[in-house]
Amino acid sequence: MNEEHQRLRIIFAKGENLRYISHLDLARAWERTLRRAGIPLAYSQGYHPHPKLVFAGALPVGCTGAAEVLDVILTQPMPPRRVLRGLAHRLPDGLTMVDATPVYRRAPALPTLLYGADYEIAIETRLSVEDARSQCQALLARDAISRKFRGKSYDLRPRIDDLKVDRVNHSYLLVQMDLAAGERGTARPEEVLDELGWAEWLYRCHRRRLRFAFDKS
Amino acid sequence: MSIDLDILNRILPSVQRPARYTGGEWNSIVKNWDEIPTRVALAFPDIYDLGMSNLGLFVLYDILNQQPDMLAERVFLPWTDMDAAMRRAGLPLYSLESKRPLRDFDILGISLPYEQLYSNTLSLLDLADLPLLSAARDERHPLVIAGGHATYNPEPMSDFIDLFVIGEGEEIIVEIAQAFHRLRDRPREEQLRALARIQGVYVPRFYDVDYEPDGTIARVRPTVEGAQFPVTKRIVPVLPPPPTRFILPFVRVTHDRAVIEIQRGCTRGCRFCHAGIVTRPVRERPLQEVLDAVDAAIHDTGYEEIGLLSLSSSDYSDAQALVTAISERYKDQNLSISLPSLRIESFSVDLADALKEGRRTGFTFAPEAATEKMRRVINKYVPTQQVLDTAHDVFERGWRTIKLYFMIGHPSETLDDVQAIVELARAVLAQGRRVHGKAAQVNVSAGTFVPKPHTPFQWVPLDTLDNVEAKQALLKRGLRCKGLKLSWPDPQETRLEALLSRGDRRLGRVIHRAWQLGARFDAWDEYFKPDAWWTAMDEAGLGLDAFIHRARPIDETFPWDHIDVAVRKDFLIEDYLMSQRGETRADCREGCFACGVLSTFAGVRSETPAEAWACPPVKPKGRHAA
Repeated sequence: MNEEHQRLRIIFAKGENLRYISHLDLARAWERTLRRAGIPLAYSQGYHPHPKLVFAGALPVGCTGAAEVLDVILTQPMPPRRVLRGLAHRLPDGLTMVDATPVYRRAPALPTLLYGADYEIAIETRLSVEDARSQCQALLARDAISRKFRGKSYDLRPRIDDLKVDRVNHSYLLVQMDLAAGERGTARPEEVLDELGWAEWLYRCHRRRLRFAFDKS
Repeated sequence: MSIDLDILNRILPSVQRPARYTGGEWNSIVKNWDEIPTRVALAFPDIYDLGMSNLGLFVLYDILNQQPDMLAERVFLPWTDMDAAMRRAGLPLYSLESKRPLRDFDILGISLPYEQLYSNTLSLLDLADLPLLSAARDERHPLVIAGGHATYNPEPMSDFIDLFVIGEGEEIIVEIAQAFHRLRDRPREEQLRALARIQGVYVPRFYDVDYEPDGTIARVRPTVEGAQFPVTKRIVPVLPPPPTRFILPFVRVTHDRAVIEIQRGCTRGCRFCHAGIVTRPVRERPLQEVLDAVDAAIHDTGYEEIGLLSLSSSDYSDAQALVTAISERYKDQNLSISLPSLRIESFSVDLADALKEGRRTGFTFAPEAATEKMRRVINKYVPTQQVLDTAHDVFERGWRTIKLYFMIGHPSETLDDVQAIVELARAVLAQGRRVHGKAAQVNVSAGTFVPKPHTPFQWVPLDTLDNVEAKQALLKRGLRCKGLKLSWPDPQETRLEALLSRGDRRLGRVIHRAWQLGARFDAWDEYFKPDAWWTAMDEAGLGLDAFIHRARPIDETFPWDHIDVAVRKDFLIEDYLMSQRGETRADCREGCFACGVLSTFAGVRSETPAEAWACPPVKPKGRHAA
């Protein structure tokens, strides 16, 4: 009944309207969107069949995302053009299609290929750009940044790939954080802000893109 | 102007489940505010998670938004954390679609399906920055209307609601909105006088209540010309096509599925059942209309679960055909289709089986009583052997969990009757053990009987606190074993429900005071404050006993007598006396008992096709063959 015929990689944006929905909410919204678009989603067998959707990485609640990635398994092959046409006018406000491409069915699972996540965080502060930048340099200059999460210790430093600051206007600074994600370990934007002492100033969080192992070559 | 969205965005990250407050869901309708003359806010006085499961509100949303010159937007009560944050930030209650303050709407329509929402209704008005009392509002404020099953006794909320809609809202809501539009520049009093003439509208301020010295009601009198007396409920002669463009919540809500009503009304005549009386006559949706609606709902929403609703699904004439058609059409689609409210008989198991409902949910039955005697009293006669045989069937076909609904607290009941519940539940478990061993599970829900208005039991007192506690203790002791689970309501909540459903206008002060003392979210265990209510009663000089524990003489005037649900009081008296004699009545599809629905709606009935109602057809008056 649910044979797998095609794996499709969907790149989408999660916008302002959906900022506050959780990852599970998003997964459910996708299942329903695909269903009403008539796109033949495959389901697992067993007592609680669930749809075969795999996200590269969960977007934290409160974040928008410009290029989130999702693999779906279909029971019938469908040309990407048809998928895009089916989804047009059936996506909820805040969900936009960027691309849909068929992917080799037996390629490694998407989360295993996830390498990094790049964020743009707006913080509300009167701190000068120069001071903000030197605080970032100081953080990057540290040999190790030890933290604890759920009782386990880890070093945050290797999980920060890059950290830059720009001024937006007299009230906001824009922090670009390129962080590790997936099997290298995942850094969360709040932890980096916390280490900088800027956690209270968080105004908006946006994920610009995800980076994958296959990007490196 | 919408509320300050920047302020809203600052608050949202700090509250639980912020997506409850942001709207933007698939199928939500945002019209151009400036171009639409008539604007209605539809409110459910509890949080989003509960309100989004309310079909009645959605039916009205769908109908109003279909009118080109009207818009309808949703309002729910914020949870306590958001309520506090909004007050601190100075944000008034706003609608989800356009984020406009409630104050800006023409009409505020409040859904009141049950009485425990009354205190929340005051919170709703307060958070919207509206005066709580109808008398303190005028044409500068939205017209506050209410409808829903609790409003069949509208009296306790009379102080706060301008106008009640008695009965089904599909047609009347548009009539009210249209009439309001014509009168929008008139003073409030004039608006209400005109609206009071619409059949099914009850404007409490146009009636006075006289009391006897002993506190019972002497009479209710209309004081204004044009005020209907009695106010007869509205019905739609034929059910209009059901809505299918359900708004898809992003967050998990209590009933997260598409819902199609397959039939309205009930002919079984269970004496405790308020819904079965007030929703008469039975009108079925034609099979094809149901099938088309299921199809449209899936197409319009993408929901993975569909519920087919009615008070007694086994009585739907085409139940078998419905199930066959649906299971055939959607067999490869990973859809879950449920048909609850089935009779306790093997045929129900056949139906559920055909729908290929996952065995993960339990199978639910509502025997209510466990002895011959009580079954006759309540007129829900399901012999013990039938319960056991059906349970056996259910377990055999693969279900491992059965949920049983029972009712305790009728005055005719003795502890032996309650003990019989224990024994029946254990016997059902034994059936399950035979098939599934230790994996068998029986979940018992023991509700406490509340004598509801407009039922044959409206003369019956609520069981005393001591009795209820003793009965609940008996059940807890008897059902304390592996494989059995018991749930029961807090007796204090039952007393509140009884008070509010049977009360009169004097309770307005009580509701107001209880709210001031902190009563909120009364249906939520963690928030329910019985002391606020009992203190409010004391302060008002009112005794709880007189309202809920007093057996009523047959000739007493009830606070709701001037609300006509089309079932004659004589009929209810007859049924009440029969219950005292242990006499049952058959399903009235087998033979009409002239309950009053037909005579009230003879004209309407004569214009509908014979098969449209379960009631016998009525020949059109004065029409002769050509």
